[in-house]
Amino acid sequence: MFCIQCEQTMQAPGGKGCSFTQGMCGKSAQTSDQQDLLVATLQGLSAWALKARALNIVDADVDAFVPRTFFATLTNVNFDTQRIIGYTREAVSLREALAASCRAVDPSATVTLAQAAIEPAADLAGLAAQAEAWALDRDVFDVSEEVHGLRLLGLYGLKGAAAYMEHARVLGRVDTDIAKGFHEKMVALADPSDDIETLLALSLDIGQLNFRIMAMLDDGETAMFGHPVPTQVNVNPVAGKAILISGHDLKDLRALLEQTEGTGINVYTNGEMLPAHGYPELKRFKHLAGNYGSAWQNQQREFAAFPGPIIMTSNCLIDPNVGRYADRIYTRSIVGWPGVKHLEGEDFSAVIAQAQAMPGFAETAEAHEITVGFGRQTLLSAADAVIDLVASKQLRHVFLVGGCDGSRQERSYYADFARQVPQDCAVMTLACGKYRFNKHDFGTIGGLPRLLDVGQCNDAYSAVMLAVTLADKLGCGVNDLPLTLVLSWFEQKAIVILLTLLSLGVRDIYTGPTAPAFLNDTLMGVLADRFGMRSIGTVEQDMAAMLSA
Amino acid sequence: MRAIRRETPDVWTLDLDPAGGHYDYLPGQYALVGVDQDRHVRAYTLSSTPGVTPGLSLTVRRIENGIGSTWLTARVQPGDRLRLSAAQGRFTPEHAPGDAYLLLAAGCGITPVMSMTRWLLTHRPGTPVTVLYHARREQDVIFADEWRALQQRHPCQLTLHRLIREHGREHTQLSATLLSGLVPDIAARTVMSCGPETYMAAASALARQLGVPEARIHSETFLPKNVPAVETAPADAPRHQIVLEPWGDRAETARGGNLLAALEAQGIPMIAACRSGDCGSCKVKVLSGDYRMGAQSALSAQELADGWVLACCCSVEGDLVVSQG
Repeated sequence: MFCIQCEQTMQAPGGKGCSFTQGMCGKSAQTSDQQDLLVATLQGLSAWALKARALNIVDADVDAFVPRTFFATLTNVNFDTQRIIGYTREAVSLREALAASCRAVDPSATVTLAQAAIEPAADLAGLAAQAEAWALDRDVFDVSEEVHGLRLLGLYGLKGAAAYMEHARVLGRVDTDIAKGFHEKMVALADPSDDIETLLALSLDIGQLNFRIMAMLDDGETAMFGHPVPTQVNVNPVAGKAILISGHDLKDLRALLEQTEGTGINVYTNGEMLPAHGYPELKRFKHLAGNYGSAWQNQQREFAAFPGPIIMTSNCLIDPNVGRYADRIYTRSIVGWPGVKHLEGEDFSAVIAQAQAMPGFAETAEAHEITVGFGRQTLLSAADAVIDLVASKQLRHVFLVGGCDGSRQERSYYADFARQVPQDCAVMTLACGKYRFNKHDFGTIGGLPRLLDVGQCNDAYSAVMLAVTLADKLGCGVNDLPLTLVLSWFEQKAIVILLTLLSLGVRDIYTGPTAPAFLNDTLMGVLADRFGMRSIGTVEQDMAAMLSA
Repeated sequence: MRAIRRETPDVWTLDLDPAGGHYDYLPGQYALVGVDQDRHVRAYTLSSTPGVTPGLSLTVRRIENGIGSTWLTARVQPGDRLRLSAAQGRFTPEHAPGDAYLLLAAGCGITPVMSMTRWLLTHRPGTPVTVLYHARREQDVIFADEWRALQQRHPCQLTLHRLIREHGREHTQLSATLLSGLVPDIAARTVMSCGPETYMAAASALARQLGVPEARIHSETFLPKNVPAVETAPADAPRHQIVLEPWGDRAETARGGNLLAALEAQGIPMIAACRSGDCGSCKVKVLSGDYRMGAQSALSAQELADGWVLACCCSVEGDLVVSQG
């Protein structure tokens, strides 16, 4: 086993990365190894997808399958070895069919990439042996630490991009040109360069590709659910039967709302589903009762205490057995935990039946409301107001404090930071890092709320568009704005967002709580030199530096 | 595993081929090994020497009723696969620098000493190495032929004293007289000892007494911190209950038993990634009861104050009530 992709990867005297019988996330060595084999097989499939395109063959199923299945290897998504092996076999099936289509046009059609020749063994022992050949540390003795680290940066960044591509596809947004770009990046990483500049450029290209993907995703969401508007959300429960839905998939939420209408069951969002309340097409359901719980790392306690069934539509899922709710949680799409009920489609009748059989909340707690829904359109329409507030010196600086949450103690920095932001400054937030401070009352500046919840992690796109619009109107660069990005990361979506920001030329981003373990000091130094990227220090020192810059 | 060789009546060496062709380690380090189809984890010293010995090997003493040693020495067949963690441990010259070494080993503690000795003789030709090897009987001496060969090849650099108890305790018992007699310049040496706790405590105390600065005294228990104090408890050892709140699940173990092993034996869902006190994934909160902790560096001061322990390094000393969050 070797995995070093998340923020809580093992960092021990013996070395960095999770490499024995289990990862820090709980995935077994077996699952991790099969994920390595899956990734390699997908790279072979992408190679054939490119070959096919050269022969004017575009296979939409393959274009959809590769990013979707790559998403299954993202942190805290799929812990089920059998499901992963199933994906590997399906990938090979698609590959062989595509190869046959190619040879029907050109009998000599072939792909030289070694991964394209993988024939998965029939049994687990055989698969385990095959997986060893595709371990992600197989190059450590052949190349420098920097080259190895940059190859992983590209691979993990592309994994985040794949996740966003899949989210967009669910909302009916696909682009064959972006798909081609995606396949090209998969293949580039399958037999990667050993040149540092080439690898750095590749990572930034992945960032640029992801920018187009996030635009596509934003378009899909707003087309299907409308533009988010500022909305009050109750974060305390109301009496009645209940279903909890977590992850990022708003389409699943709408299906659940439609199916539970009139049943007397209340639907609660959790984690990254909180932004759902801002969308007109979702908030119109009266029984979308509120938000329950906080960020992913607290789910074992929070889900244990929830008196109804739970649906997990994407990351982050952690061991449901710890909280003893494995028999009332359902995974969707590419999510999986061994033994947990999995729903392939949007039929939630089993969940509804279970909710009816469970107690639900006995009482309505006193309501506590927070505001969400500062989506792209709302932000852009406020651009002139923001400029006026800055010009009249009522608004001095805006901090974007957001990203993934996690359990590392040092993440208290983000709570402290947000609360120490001066009264004449505002905070934009997104992703589940917001839960460190989103119940705090930040007040307003000249009518503008001091805390603006922009949405899910992918809604970083909206924050970027606001920055670009402000810069445009002011006739300056994005880096000249009174704006500082303070990003927290945990998994690969955050990594690709960072690559997107760097590829757009955004400088002086503060990252934390720790540096990615696959980027050594030299690489962090390169990112510091070229982009001004730096690690968080203390709240006092950082805030002073940010405000005087 | 490629082959297994018997060294003495109860010691075997397993020769391994690393998948992928390489395994990175320092002389004297150990690895965690998954035994019995990864159902258990035990630590064993890498008795080979990186860059010197052509292959990779583990030398294992079979302990009666020992889960790991029985499986490794009696059940594993050539061609079988073993899962090894990354190499661990600070009992290696890189972390114990010096211009001259005194290496003391009792029984199976000779395995890291042999690994380090080969390395020092190859890579530090000017550095004197004295080895004091305590064994119970002549037949218990491990690597006997290799020691003779090394002494022949490096007569000036290597001094080996085999102190075999059956030849008479008075000539072998660790004492200030013995040490200063055999190693007159001990105060200039880096002293490293490996063996049972009492042996290492005695060696370290005597070294201090004879003028070796603290910074140059090193020891490593041959039972790393996460292995239970007793592999199997004597039949009359008191047994203790562990209750997991808020579920009321019960586990139990003999006094001195390992907390992680007890919880896992009950099927309680645990994450234990490194199993040696470094990663913190197995942390558990003790609400009441007595225990002893080995490593705790993966826990913050606040966590320790709040009663968190690393289950993999925690020995149960009384009935415990614990929770996972």
